[in-house]
Parts: sequence; C-alpha cells; structure tokens
Amino acid sequence: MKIHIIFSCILILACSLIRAEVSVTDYRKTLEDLSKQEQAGIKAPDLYYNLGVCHARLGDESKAVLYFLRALNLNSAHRDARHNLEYLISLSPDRELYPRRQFVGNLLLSVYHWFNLNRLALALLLMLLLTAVSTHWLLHYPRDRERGLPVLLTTITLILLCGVIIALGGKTYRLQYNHKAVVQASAAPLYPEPDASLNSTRILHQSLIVEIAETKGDWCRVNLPGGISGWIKSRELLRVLP
Amino acid sequence: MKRSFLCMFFGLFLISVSAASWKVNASVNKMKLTMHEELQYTIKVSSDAPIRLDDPDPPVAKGLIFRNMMTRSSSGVSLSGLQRTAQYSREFIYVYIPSKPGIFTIPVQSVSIGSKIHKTPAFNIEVIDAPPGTTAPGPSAPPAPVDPLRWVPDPTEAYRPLGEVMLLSVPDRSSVYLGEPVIVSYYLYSTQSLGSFQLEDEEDFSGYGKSVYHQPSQLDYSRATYNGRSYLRALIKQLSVVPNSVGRIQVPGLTGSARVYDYGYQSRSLRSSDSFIQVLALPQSGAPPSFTGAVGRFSVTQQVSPKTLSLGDAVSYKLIVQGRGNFHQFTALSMPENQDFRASKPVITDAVNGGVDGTRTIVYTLLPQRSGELRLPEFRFSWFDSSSGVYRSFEAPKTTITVKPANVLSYFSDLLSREDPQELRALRPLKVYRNYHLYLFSLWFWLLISLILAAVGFSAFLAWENSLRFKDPVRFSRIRAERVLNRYFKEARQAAESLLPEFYVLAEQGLMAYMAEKFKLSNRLSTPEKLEQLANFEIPAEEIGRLSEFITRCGQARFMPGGADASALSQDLQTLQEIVRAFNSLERGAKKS
Repeated sequence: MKIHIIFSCILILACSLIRAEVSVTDYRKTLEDLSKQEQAGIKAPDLYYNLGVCHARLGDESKAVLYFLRALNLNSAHRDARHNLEYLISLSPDRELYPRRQFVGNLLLSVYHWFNLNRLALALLLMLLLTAVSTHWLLHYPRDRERGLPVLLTTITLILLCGVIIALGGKTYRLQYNHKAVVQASAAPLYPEPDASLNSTRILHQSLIVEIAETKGDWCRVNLPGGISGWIKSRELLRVLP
Repeated sequence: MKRSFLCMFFGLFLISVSAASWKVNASVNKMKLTMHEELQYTIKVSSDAPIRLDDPDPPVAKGLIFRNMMTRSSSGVSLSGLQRTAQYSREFIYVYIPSKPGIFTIPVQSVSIGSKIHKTPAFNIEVIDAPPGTTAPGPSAPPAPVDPLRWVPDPTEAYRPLGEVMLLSVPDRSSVYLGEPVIVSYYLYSTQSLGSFQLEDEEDFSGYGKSVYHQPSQLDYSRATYNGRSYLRALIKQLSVVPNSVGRIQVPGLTGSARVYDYGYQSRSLRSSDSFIQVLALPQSGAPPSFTGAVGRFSVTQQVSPKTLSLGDAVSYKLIVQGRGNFHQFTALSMPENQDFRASKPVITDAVNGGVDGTRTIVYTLLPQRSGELRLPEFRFSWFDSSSGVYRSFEAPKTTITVKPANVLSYFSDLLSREDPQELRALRPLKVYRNYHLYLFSLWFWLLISLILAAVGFSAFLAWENSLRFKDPVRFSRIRAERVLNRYFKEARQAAESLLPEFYVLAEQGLMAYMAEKFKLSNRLSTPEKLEQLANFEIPAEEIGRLSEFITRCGQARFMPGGADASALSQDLQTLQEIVRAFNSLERGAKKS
C-alpha cells in the first residue's frame, strides 16, 4: 500500500514538473513563432499582446511591458493588454511612482482609452454628420421663429466635434511619435546630468515606464511617472517606437 | 556652589582615569640568534580603557641595527552577568639585525602613560656566527649592503600579520538583544590587488537566522589600516543575522579562494575570522500586550487623508514605521471594531533594505458608514527599543474627520473603483495576424468627410441666397435674371454655332425671361405687352426698339417659311450679344444712379 502511495506521489510530482517544463517550452515556441511574424512587419495589437504574455510568462517583465504598451499604442481599447500592463505595474518595485487617480480621473481616462483610433474616426464621422444636420437646420430655420434650440444643438455638436478632433489628433500623434520607453536594466541609475561620474539621484528598476523628453548622445533625459526627471543611459531603455 | 560641583566632577574624572589599569610588558622573540636572523623586540601595552599613546622611540643597542617598526592593536568586549568588560592592547614591534657577533644588551625602556612612567626589563642578546652554508633571508642574494629601511618579513615568525590576504568578519554590534538584527560585513584585506575572489561556502552555526543584506557585484577597494598595517580592503558580502537564542553566538563564516599575483597568479583559500555576538534576553517584565516581537530602533507616525469627505468616499489611513530592526515582526494589526467605519484588510508596502532598515507603510482604507464628525479608530503598536532597553508603544493620536452627506458621484465610486489585477491574462488563440487597419487612413473615410462638408457648403449657399431675397431683393432679382439669361444664352450660342433654328426659340425665351426677372414683369403678359411695359422703366427707346426688332426677327425665323436662314444665324447671335451687353451695362448704370 505504501509503495502505491509513494509511487502515485512520485508520478504526480513528475507529471507536474513535466507540465511546467512543457508549458515553458510552449511559451518559448510561441514566442519564436510570434517574433517571426513581428519581423515580417505585421503590426497588430493581438500580436503584440501575445508577445507580451509570452515574455511575461518567461520572466522578461521589461519586454512584456514594452509589448503591452505597443499593443495599446495601436489600440488603446485593448482590455487584456491594459489589464496585464496594470498587473505587471502592480508587481513593479517602482509601483509607488505611478500616480493614483481619483474616481473622476479614472472615469475620464477609461473613456479616453475606450475611444481607440477607429472608434474616434467613427465618432468624428458621426459628430460631423450631426453638426452638418444641425447647421443645416439652423441655416434654413424660419426667420420669424426663435432660433434657441437649433443654436444650442449646433453649439453642442460643434463642441463635441472639436473634442473628437483634438482626441483623434492627439492619438494619431502618439501613434506616430510615442516617446514612452521601458527600463530594461535590473537597476539603472538616474543622474542629474548626463555624466556617469556624478552621484545618481535614484535607482530605476526593471520594467518602469518612462517618457523620453530629450536625447543627447548616449544619454536620454526621462520623465518618471511621478514627474521626476533625470538622465539615463540610452542602452538601458527599450523604446515603444523603435 | 559651582566650585563645589566642578571639584566633584574633577574628582570623578581623576577617579575614572586612575581606575583604568595599565600594564606594560616587553619581550624578544629569541635570546640567541645568528648573523642571518632578525630580532624582534616587542613592547605590549594593555588596559581596560582605549589606548591613546604615541609610539615609543626604538631602543638603541650596540651591535644591533634597527630596521623597522610595526604596531598591532586589538580589543575585545565581554559581558559577564550585566557587567561589560573591555580589554584593549597595543603592541609596538621593533625589528633589528645584528651587525657583529657578541653579547649585546637592549636597555631598560621607559613608557610614560598619563602621569605614570612604566619601565621595561633589559635583555641580553647573544649573536653568533651563522653556520656554514646558510644564506641571508630575502630574495636579494648579495647580503650587503644592508638597507635598514627594507623589511623582509619572516613567514615563520609570530609577529607576522594574518597574511597578505585575509578575510575578516566584522559584526556592526558586539552585543544585541534577542531578535535584533546585526549586520555582519565580510571584508577582504590584501596588500595587493587581487585577480579575483570566488566565494565558495557559508558555514552556519546555531542560534540565528540570516539573510543577505548586501552583495557587491565587484571588488571595490579602499585603503584601510589593520593592526597598524596598511591594506587594500574590499567588501565581499553583508549578512543580516537575527539571533534567536540568548548567549554567545558565532556569526556565519565564509570561505573562498582568491587569485593572488606572486610571480604569476596563484589561488589561495581563505576562511573568514571567527566573530561572536553576545545576545541578551528581552526583559520579562513590562512587555505591553500589543508587543508582537519587534525589536530595534523605530519611529511610528500616522497619516490620514482626506480629513473632509463625502459619505461614500474612502479615507486612507497610513501607519509609517521607520528605523532599523526586525521589520518582519512589525505585523499589521486588524482595525479595532468600530460602528462608524468599514475597514479594508491592511496593505503593507516595504521599502526595507535586507529586512533590516528602511520604512514599512501599513495602509488601511476606511469607509465611513454615516455622515458627521467621526473619530478614527485608535491603534496601539509596541516594540522593544534596543537603544534604551525598554518597551515602547505608539498610540495613534485622536483624529476626527468630517463626513458630509453623499454626493451623486459617491454613489458610483463602488461601481467603478478598480482593484489591482490579481493575475496575468492568457494568450489569445490566434494563428494568423493581420495588420491593424485604421479607418483614418482609408479612402472611404475621407470621401465621406468630403461629402458631408460639400453638403454643408451647398446648404450654406442656399441659405445665403434665401436670406438675400429678404435683405436685398434687387440684387437677388439681378442674380436670378443673370442666371436665367446665362442659361438661355449659353444654349442659344450652342444652337447658333451648330446652325440650328432652335437658336431663335431659345434666344426669345431667354430674353423675355431675363426681362421678366429683372423688371418684375408678369409672365401672363404677351411679348408685345412686355415690351410696352419696358417703356415705363428708365430704358432708352433705342434699346427697346432694338430688342423689339430682334424679337420680331425671332418670330419671323420661327414661323415664316424660310425665315431661319443659316447664314444669318451668326449675325443674329452677334445682335443678341450686343442687346445683352447693353442691358447689362444699363443695369449697372441704373444701379449707379
């Protein structure tokens, strides 16, 4: 009886170990396949998302964050990419640097993220059509009647149209010129000036998301999520737009 | 009064100075030596107080040449019961070489400490000739001339330091309380830069738990003096050792191998020196009920934000523990029961180096259950303060927050408050990926936008024309008339160029429609009646006559057989152009007047 129990235990242990190993192997294989598609020039949010998941499963958090950011750069409404990005941020040693927003801020940000480029383009068409209709109504409204309602409607649609245009312009600019980058070194010193002989002001850890404000030679001036600014070696960063 | 105090202090000072016991000894390593050997003369000063003493002058002895001098210091602290005993010693080692055979005397030496003078005994040293076949020590083959400043250490002698390369373990404290962490630093001392150093093993002993406090990635040398000798020193490792038993415990030992350059690289095995820590028990009495085992030097503060809020909003209550000690024993307590608040589970955030020093933040999220002035629950944390040796407690100051009635947004805070994700989402099962298509870069998108904008433009034009009818009817009529004339005139010109008799029909219709639009003539009137009406306007009779003739010509061409002569078409077209030009200029002239 004892032998059976011991044998079963060993079998279960072996199976679990094999499964874990197979799982890691699967992710490596998937990563290779996905990397080939990426190298072929395909730019798809789902491709970036799956690349990010593979990197995260294989323990490369900085690249995982990078690919989730790339997925969101193309499609800001990619819920899974945002979820996994937030999860990795919550595990980051620098998580305290990220700002905590209040309720209204979170709500507005969620709405902004939900409107990806395609949704914004459709919204632009819709708002343009509504503005055209309300303008037409206003222009051809009987001269002897009060014009308050058409004026109000036209104003509202115009304001919304301007908002959509600004959001679309901003997102399109981000698509072309995204300055975000991810720290890839496990501990990268941040300097007050581009000079490694100075004392570093703080140590940045792997997978921290920064915004590149300026580049000078091998150095980049970066803004941290909390607003702190400093210089870091370019080779310690992975850019969202290479 | 002051004078008596000063006297008392001076007396106490003298007592403390005189209480320190001093011992001065002298010794030589050998009483008889050959011409090729060296002599070491050692003066050792020991005391139970720290020794601050200038180096004594080297003794002068005939037949012995002074070569070099070294110093060596050591100290030790032991605890017996509750009494702390310290022992300090310092050795001054003088190295001599004999200059000739014979018996020589090292005279009595006087060492003055404070107001006392200590005497050392004299030594008679016998120097004999070296046996045949022996050579002088050191790598230099020719024995002469002797350089008195060059010292060649003898590896067999006891005065030699631990070695040219050695590993020392240095606890930052020699006596701690049970549970209080000690940082043990392991330093590599060397007289020269090493090729590399490889850590091989850690030897553990009973009575403690340990974790890595700091692990340098490279050998970073600095100058340091040990036992009076200058070394290059590099930090190898720092361990955080937490004692879990009372008494004397030995700190972990490290072993490793160093690659030393000595006419070529050689590996040398090293083991760290033995070091001990005295672990004291915590006082049995006076431990508060909230004591959870935290020992160290801590300071605790609290932060409450916001202090004014609406019902439905949350309060963040932070307890911040800073300092040094066993942070892992500083557990988060559950929020005391309170009807006014609903509390979340505490969230602990650590910024603690090696679990020993830094900051631990314990965050509670409180949801007020009613509006009004509410008093926050009061916490009580206790720990053992190792610096003062007493138990200390933190009692949260009484804090009141103002909770206003709920606003609209508060009702939604629960719905939209997102917690941090707890797991990574899985791969999306896709085999083929296609480029993400953006509508913004599609043709149909911009066509639709152009269409909508064109529709708006057209609508605006119609609206403008419509408004012109009311604001400027004359201009509106003129524009309409010109439009009619242009349309007919264009068609008539095409007919004339094609030598078609339809020219006359189009010309007559166009001219009469133009006149009707411009001068507001009724369409029910016949052509002769319209011409009569034109006479009522300020139009020259000559122009009316020419128009009448052209209309008559059109009638003839339309209704008389052979009236539509193709050869006359070009001339009639020219006449029509002249009439139109004349009426246009007339209109402009009339407008001016």
